[in-house]
Amino acid sequence: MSEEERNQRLMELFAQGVELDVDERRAMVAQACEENPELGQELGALLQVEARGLGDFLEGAAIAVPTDLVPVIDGVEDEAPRPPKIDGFEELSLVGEGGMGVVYRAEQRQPVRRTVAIKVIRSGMDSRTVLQRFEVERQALARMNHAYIASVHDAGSDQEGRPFLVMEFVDGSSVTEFCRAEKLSLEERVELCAKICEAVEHAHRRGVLHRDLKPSNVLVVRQDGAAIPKIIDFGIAKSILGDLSEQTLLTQQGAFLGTPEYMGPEQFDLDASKIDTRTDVYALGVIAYEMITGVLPFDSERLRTSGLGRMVSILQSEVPPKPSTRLRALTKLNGKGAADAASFASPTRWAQRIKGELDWVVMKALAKDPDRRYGTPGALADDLRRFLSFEPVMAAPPSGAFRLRRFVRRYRVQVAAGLLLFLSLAGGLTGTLWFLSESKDNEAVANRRASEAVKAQRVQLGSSLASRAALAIQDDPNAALLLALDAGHYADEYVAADAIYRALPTHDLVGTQNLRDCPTRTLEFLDDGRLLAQTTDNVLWLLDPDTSRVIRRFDGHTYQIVSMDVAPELGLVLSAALDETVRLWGIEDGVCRAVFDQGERLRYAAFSPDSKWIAALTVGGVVRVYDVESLGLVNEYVPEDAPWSSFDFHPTEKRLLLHTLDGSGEIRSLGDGELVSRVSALAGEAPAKVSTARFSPSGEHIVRTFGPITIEYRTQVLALDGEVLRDLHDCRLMKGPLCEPQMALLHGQIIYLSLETGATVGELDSEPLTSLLGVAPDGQRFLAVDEQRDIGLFNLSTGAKIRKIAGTSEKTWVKARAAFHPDGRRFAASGPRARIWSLEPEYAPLDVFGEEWAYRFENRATMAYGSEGAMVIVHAPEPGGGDSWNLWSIDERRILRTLRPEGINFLYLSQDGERLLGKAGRPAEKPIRCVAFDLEGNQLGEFDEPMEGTRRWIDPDGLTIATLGKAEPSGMRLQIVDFATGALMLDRKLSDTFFGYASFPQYGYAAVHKFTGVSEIFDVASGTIVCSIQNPSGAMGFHAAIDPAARRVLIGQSNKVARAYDLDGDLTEPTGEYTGLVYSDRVRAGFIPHTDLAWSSCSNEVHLYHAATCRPFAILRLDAIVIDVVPHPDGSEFLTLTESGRCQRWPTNPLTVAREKAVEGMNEATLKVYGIGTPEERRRRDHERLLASPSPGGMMKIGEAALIDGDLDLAIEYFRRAAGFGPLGRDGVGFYKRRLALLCRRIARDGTGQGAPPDDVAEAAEVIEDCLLLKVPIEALRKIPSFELLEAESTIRAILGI
Amino acid sequence: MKSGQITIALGRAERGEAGASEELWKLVYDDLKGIAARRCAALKPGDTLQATALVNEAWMRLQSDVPREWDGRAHFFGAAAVSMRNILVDQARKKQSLRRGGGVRPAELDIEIADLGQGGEDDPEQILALDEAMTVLATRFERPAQIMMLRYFAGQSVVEVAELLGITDRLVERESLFARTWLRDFIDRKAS
Repeated sequence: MSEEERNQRLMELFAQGVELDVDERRAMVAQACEENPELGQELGALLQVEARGLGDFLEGAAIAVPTDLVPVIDGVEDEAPRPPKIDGFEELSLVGEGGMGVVYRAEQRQPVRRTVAIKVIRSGMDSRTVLQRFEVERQALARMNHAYIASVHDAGSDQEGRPFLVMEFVDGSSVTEFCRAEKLSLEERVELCAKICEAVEHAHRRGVLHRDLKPSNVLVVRQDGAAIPKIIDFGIAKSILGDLSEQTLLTQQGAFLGTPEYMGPEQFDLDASKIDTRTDVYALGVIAYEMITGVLPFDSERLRTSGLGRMVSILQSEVPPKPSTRLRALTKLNGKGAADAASFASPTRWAQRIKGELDWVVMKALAKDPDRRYGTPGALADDLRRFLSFEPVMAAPPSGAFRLRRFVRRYRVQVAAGLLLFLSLAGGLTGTLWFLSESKDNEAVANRRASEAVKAQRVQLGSSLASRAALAIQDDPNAALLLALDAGHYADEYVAADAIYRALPTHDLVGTQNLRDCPTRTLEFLDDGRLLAQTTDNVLWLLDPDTSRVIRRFDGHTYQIVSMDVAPELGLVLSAALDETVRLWGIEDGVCRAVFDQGERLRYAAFSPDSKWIAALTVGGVVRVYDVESLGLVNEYVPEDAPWSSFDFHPTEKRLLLHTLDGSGEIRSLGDGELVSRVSALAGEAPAKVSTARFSPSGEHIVRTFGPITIEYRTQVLALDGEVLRDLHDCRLMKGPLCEPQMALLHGQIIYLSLETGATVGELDSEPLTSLLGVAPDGQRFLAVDEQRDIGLFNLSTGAKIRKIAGTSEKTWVKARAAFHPDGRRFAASGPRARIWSLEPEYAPLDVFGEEWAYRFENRATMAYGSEGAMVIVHAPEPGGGDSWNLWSIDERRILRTLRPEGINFLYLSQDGERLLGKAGRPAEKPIRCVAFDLEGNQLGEFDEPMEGTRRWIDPDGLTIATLGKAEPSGMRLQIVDFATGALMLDRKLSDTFFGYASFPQYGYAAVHKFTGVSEIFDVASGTIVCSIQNPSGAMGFHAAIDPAARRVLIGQSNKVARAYDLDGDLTEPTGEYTGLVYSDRVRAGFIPHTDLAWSSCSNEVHLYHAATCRPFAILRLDAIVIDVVPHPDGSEFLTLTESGRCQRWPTNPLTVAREKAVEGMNEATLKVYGIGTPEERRRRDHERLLASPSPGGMMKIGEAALIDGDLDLAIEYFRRAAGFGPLGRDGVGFYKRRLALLCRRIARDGTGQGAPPDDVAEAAEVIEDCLLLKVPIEALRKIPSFELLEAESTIRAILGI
Repeated sequence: MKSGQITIALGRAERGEAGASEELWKLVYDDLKGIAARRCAALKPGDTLQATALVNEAWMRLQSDVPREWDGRAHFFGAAAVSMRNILVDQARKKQSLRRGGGVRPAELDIEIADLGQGGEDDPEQILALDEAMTVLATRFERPAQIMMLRYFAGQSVVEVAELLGITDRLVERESLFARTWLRDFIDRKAS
């Protein structure tokens, strides 16, 4: 054995040896001695050393302590640096030492008696660099004058010529120390932190960045009971404006000056230009974090031992846990330890109060990207104060880093274009859909006008309100709802919808079906929305989710079914049961296609991903694979020792993964059954009760889970050769198909686990969960089981619980299952019944009417709002055979009068509700006689239809009737007649040979829809064509609506599309297209007055959408085909009438109704406490507060708030008032430029106004003069958008000197 | 800053030119000491400066001068580890001689190493013993020694070492355990 071989062998044996116990080691050493005595001896010695334990020996990195701070070597080593001699100061005593300076406390006698701090450069450190830094600090401090910044009294050189600074002596402790020692409350801490921010803001305004903010540089003293911070050590401060000595020197040295824990990620870049005010904001964020939680965002120990490269990467990429999460984790970890650390009364309660807004504020300050932080410390202070005064903060919750894409394996999902809220009717009728967006389109206009920053602020305000709503739910549901509705004005749609959904009292159970009293187990929706349910019974069920009725039963198993799987492309479903058989069923016919007898009870069976194979696993651990086409047995895998406990098909290749409870496994190829590779067993662990192994989505890795049920799950990611890439205890995967990355629970917290690398690639904060059930098709929400074993719905971006789904609580939560409907708006959850739940709140009718007429409806009814309120006229056949009509008051629920006009077959209510229009003569009879009546039944006039028509329509105003008939010799003729007098108002030959429809789009207009696809709209009085629109090829108009005031036209088309056009715009290009209609020949459309909404009815649905953009607003699903929709003239509500005879009154915006109701339940004071209010009210309150103590800052804030609401004029007005407080000096440059920018914006909008008030040019001239006084260069002003408009003015040119 | 020279030296070391490694070590050594000296000026009492931080900083400074596509990481960290070891050993020698009553306080940078687990906290003997043990280890077990150099003297983590040497984390862990055991054994033997 050569030396080299021996060394190699020694390492190998050592590696094996360390895994063994004492006896085994002894045996190994003995054997090695036989092999080679030297080898054996050395191995024995090493193993002994190893057994004794190495401790920390050479475990970390060598640590170097710079000893200039800790004198060690020669004779003077124990002596403190000699105090300098400075005239006028006595009793110098050492109080602190820094890298370059030493600080003494001293008594000054002249000119005033006071205690001061003297900072002197350490002897031997007086290099040019250090001197310069000293000078920097002196200049920086000299610039500042703030109660919270230690002031500098004097500067000079001592007798040895060393420079020194005389500063205010602060007899305080570091801010963190102070918080701990004084046991400050959360409020006190936040307030203290805001003060610190103010001080830093002051420094920034004076042009100085601190760059080394940390607790030891923020001392706190008690003055008159108040905690007063004093910021010290501007030693590495940097000037924003320049001229703080040679800053190049600092940057040369500088990339790593500072204290890593408090350094913004950008400080590690060598590019010093990235360091600005926001770097100090980051440090303030860290300090705030530490003040609140007692610990640093990143563990110091970890940072400093991880190596600089890694440290920088941690600081630049890792997002620290939120303060509340951290606090809870600390409490969990060491119980009282956390409480001691920060001296909180109750860390858990703290965590609750921090959670949400304070979390966001701190996390915003800690954002990696400076652009995402607060722009200034002042903004951070403002938000901290907002938190204290219960105002919504500007910071928003961080959004989830991941949007899962591959949630659904088999569904082709159509995600709704807008936010649709699904609702239900209490009476168990079919549901309705409702879109929330309270004047969202108007908001959109405001948003367009607003800048990006303002938009972001709006969204943040919205998120903040939404979270307040969540917090208020327990205490005051009304307040919660109002806050949620307020959030709807600002927030991201999903955030607002979640909040509203949570807050609205809804009947979210859409349907329920008792399936022979058996609890449901597996639930799966088919592509078309039908639901397959497996219960604990021996039958599979196919259900209609709209009605929850059973469509089909799959009956044949003789004992309980344990699993099912669907192959939608084949229309087959597979079931495995305890009756020892696997059965294959046709979904459409319910016929059993095949029975595979396994001779043993089944564990489960499944299709391969391509649906070509079926595999079944029995309780005895035998796996059999069948060919779906031939139904023949392909492979049989009988276990050699441990029974197989799971199988999985490879996603793409013909491979099968077999796995046992003890963790050993095999990959075999399908067909020939050959062994491809082996997976190693779980060494040294007791076999699990459950174990499943599956291929990762790429098929290149394996993920397996072991778990005794209810205790701990363990998840491993492995390479195909069995090498374990990741081993996670207490970790389980989300149910359902695997994704990359895969959502999983680790210690109850959500992580995104890469199944290809084993790495944790993301996290999502949520309450502790026990099981993840599935993600909605739109990737916005997911279902999970919480610690109370209830199924809950969660937001996938924020991790917040949207609501608990009542009645799903399972004793054995591991059995909980849920599936989303392909429409993403409903889901089914397992429980005692088959239950379908809605994800969206309720759109309930105000009133349902129709039980009153207890006879066949016959489709002959019309409704209207008139002087007598909401009315409906209904055909009521007389017992004797005659016709009579009942005119009902819907409001009063009584018959106003019964009319029996002679010979009239149809009686209509004009849409303005002012008259009745009758037609005499059956359609076969010619000519048709038309009669007009008033509401009392008095005849107003009559006439015979002048032309034999194919179709006729009554104008909604009830004044005219239009007839479309054949023209001679060819083509069509449209005639419009005055209903009362019979006078011919319009007689128009339509030249093309065509067939078409006509409709009345709106009072005074008529439309003709030709089969050529052209829709023409006429002004009836003048006969002129208002517009002619070419519908897309293959489609023709069905219905039209015109809103002359808004200059909008809406065409309902035969291809189930409604298109909106701008009358003054390009009529070839619709402004919006609504594609959500279902097939029906009754598509009708109209506008809802005084709103920006339009409606279309089709089949049993009424769709509401925004008239211009066609963004969906609501879908109502009614109980039968809709025959009439009538909006109230004021637009607040509308009536629907269906063929079933049901007449319903709907609020146009149910949220307004909900709001009114909620407001009724609250008093003004409570509204104020919760900060509830529309944008206007909110603004008014802000104004009141700011006006109560007028200040330029307050005026500017009102101005900025007005901008958020898109009110430029108001903004300018308040900026003018702010300017009225007098000149602002150098601090005012930003303000002047902002004011100028606003004026420019208005000039760009309105022009210069020719001197008429508001005279923006004159005002701008003043501002420019102020700017020039402050030596703002003209180039800087020219960067203001639209400044060139000002420059074109002679007065301005004169001021600018050009 | 000698990053230009270091880059050239790295290139030469990469190509395996004679004497290039020594030159590289010398350059890196000077550079590390320079960084250490500057950083010390910024430190407060009680702050510690880690070999890791030092070496990484040197690397990052270097990197900003080095063309992106070129990766001299392995060589650099190797050189840095050797340099760091030399710095520490030099320190220890000086301290030792001072304790024996000779010489004056060194004017240049003075750093000390972490407690190796034996003897006094500030025992220069420790580092010298370790130095000797490392030398023997390297003659017999090249890679474990290399791993220890990178881990201990260049302060790289297991993962980083694995990347530098192109081996798996597990192997790094296994061999560092071996090396640490072996070194412990060797040092203990010498001491007794």
